[in-house]
Amino acid sequence: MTVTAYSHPMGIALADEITDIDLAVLQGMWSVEQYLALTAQTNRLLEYTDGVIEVLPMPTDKHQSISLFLLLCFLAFVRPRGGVAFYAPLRLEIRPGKFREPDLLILTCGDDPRRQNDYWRGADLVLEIVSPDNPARDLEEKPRDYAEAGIPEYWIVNPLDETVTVLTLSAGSYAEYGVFRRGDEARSKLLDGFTVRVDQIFDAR
Amino acid sequence: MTVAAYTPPMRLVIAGEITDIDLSVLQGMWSVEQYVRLTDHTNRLIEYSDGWIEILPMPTERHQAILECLFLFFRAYADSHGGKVRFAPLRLLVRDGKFREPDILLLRDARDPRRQDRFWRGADLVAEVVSEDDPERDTQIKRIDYAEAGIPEYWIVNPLDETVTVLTLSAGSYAEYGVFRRGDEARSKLLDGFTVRVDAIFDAQ
Repeated sequence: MTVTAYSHPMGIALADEITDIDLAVLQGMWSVEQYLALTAQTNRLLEYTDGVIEVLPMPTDKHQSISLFLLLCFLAFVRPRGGVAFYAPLRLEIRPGKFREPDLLILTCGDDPRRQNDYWRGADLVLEIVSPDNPARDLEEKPRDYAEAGIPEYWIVNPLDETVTVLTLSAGSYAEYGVFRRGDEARSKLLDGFTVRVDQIFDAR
Repeated sequence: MTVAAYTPPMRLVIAGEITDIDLSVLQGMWSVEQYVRLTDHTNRLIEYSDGWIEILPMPTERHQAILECLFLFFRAYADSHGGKVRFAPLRLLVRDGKFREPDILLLRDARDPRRQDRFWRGADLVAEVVSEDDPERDTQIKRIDYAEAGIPEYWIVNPLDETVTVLTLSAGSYAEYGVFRRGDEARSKLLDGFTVRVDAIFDAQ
């Protein structure tokens, strides 16, 4: 089963001209080198799968408030323990020919060889804040992507229904470790002792 | 000798959004397959050299009037003497990794094996109507390109100074066979007996 993400029509624009050159016809033909060159010089989130490039929507203020809050929570936990936490945009290679840009990426050991300067070759924990434009991207597609990458834990923070779903990898696919709501403390299985109050996440400003 | 053509900045645009994804970082990385696919789906003239694409400006009405007039002269000759003449857009492979889209392409034998459906692999004669935006593209750069392609005769029709320059290939580069002005009859060396009144070309409506 595949879920097709809604891909915005892409075109080439020339300075001061109206053109009708449709880049959608190149989907499936983009090279990894082209993807890396494009993402190296834009702050837009771009993801890549076997020649197909998807341009993700710009995050909203609410999205960024939640992202910043959670980054600070994770940093406070992993840094003293020798780990690293980063926020988008940072490319993550799922497998050769497939890249994603999670909202937060964590490695429990800062010296992990998968932590490379151009893009990470893996992660121990990733987190996505669900975008209203296409919730299925984070809820349905990304679990498959991150499972394919072998990432042990995936947090889905959903402002639409104010839930935090923590998934843990088991035999190649994700199982729910917990679904946390207002009043709960969301907790990690991987990061022993790490908890966040759900109220604080969705009240982040 | 190389002459750098002015290349307008290209940006990736997404329907309904303002983006800043600069496609010029991909110059040098475009594949032949991507070039062929792009040009399959646009009426814009696009040329290709070793990973670089250049999008040519839309022709003006005057450019098209002259081109139509010229085409009909060549067409009349081909109809009576044999051969095949085509007008842009039609891709011409200059060499592996290099494509141009001349305004007029002519083969003296309609069954010439270089006449292929997706692009021609050579021509006996090409013509360009000089564009105002960058006259050197046609008068200097193309002169090098078509010599590289081994095309025996190249007509440069220049509305800016109302000249028709007929170049013939000799030992790998073009020499002037004639520069024709109003009152003259421009003539071909390759196409025996082919002449065009220069006045008719530049008075084309």
